[in-house]
Amino acid sequence: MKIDVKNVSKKFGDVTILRNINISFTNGKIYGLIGRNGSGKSVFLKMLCGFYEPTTGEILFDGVNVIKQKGFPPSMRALIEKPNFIPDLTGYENLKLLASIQNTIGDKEILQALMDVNLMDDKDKKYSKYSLGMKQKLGIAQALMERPEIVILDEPFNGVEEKTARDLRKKLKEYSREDKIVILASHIKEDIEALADEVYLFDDGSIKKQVHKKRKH
Amino acid sequence: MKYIFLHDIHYMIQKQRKFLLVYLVILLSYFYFHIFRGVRSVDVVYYDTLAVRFDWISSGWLEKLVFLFMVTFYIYITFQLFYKDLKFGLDNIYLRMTSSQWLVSKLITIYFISALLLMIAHIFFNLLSLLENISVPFHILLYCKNVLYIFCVESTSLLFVFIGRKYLWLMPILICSFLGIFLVLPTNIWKMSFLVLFMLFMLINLFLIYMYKSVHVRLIESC
Repeated sequence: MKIDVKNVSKKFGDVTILRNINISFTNGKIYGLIGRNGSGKSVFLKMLCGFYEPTTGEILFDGVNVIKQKGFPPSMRALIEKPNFIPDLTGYENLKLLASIQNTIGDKEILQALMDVNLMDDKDKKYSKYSLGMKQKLGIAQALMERPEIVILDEPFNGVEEKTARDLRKKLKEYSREDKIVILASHIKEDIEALADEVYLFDDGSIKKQVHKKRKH
Repeated sequence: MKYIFLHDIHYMIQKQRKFLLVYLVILLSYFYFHIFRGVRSVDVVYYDTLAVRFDWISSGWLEKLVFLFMVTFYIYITFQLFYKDLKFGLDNIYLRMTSSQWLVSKLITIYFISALLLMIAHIFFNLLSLLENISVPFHILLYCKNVLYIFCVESTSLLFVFIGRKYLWLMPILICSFLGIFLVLPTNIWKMSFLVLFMLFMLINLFLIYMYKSVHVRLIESC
């Protein structure tokens, strides 16, 4: 799988949010997008997911503009904004319900995802009782449980305790080694640089510089 | 479908229960307003309360208000249920199903919830009428026509939003058309043909599904 972002710009009315973005994403790598709040990272991620349409340019998946054809990219999962689950259901029930939409996984994969994010002890607790960090972890679990080819996580470590953040970084590295594409966005440079193979800096809607960093083991 | 349905039911119970209560309280107040005035006619205490006998020309100002309230309430519920997924939870839903699949599931849920609310209202006022020793036969056909009428109101309001998103210049015409269709034409549901209502409902929904494909991104961006 290869994602090509070609000359993509995005305007809302007269306001230009993104200017002439050109990036490619390939399998087996973790990509980090850093930038302050309001620099256009979330807008860019939403365009990758097909939620927003580029004003100019195009986003191709293996050379095809899939979003225009089918409406959403193949085999992609994301956590972009605040996770939205049903408060009266448990963490496990929420994931089970989401998994029932496409019906490609069973209980084993759901429980594995909960284990990966250290939520096994709280899986039978109602979502309304979850802390902010637990809600964030469940959001990450829903993005990983179906083992999609592309995973997009916006500010994934917000509110997550250090031990889980460390475990998650390890899991994401293992995940990308399964020939997946992982795209992370954060305003915290250290989170990205500890994990990403390639780092892009967003500044006022443009990519200001591209920094290649090796993964720290 | 199951996900959208359960999510919407929970949403109605968690976030909209105050409005559901207001809905029942207002209708209840209107019902007892007539009872306390000594009005015991089935036409007034039952049919007018549920606005199924409304006629813009011959109905009084109070009936007009109740009718407007009923129509506004169901349009409000429709837009709350419709937009909530576009505002929160795009990543959960829109990467797992196409926009058309989502719309069809969403419409089914909206119609189910509306039909359920109407059923509760019909049964509630039937029971109240019996308590007040007013004999009211429960007309299943009246209920079905009432439901279809509300479905047409809800789907037309959504359709006009979709058209307006695509052709912004049409919005003033659409608003006037909407007001014309539902507020000026007589809406005595007794007199409406069930078949005509059903065909209108199907036609509007076909247009809805057709239009949605071309406007769903604009709707998401506007949220």
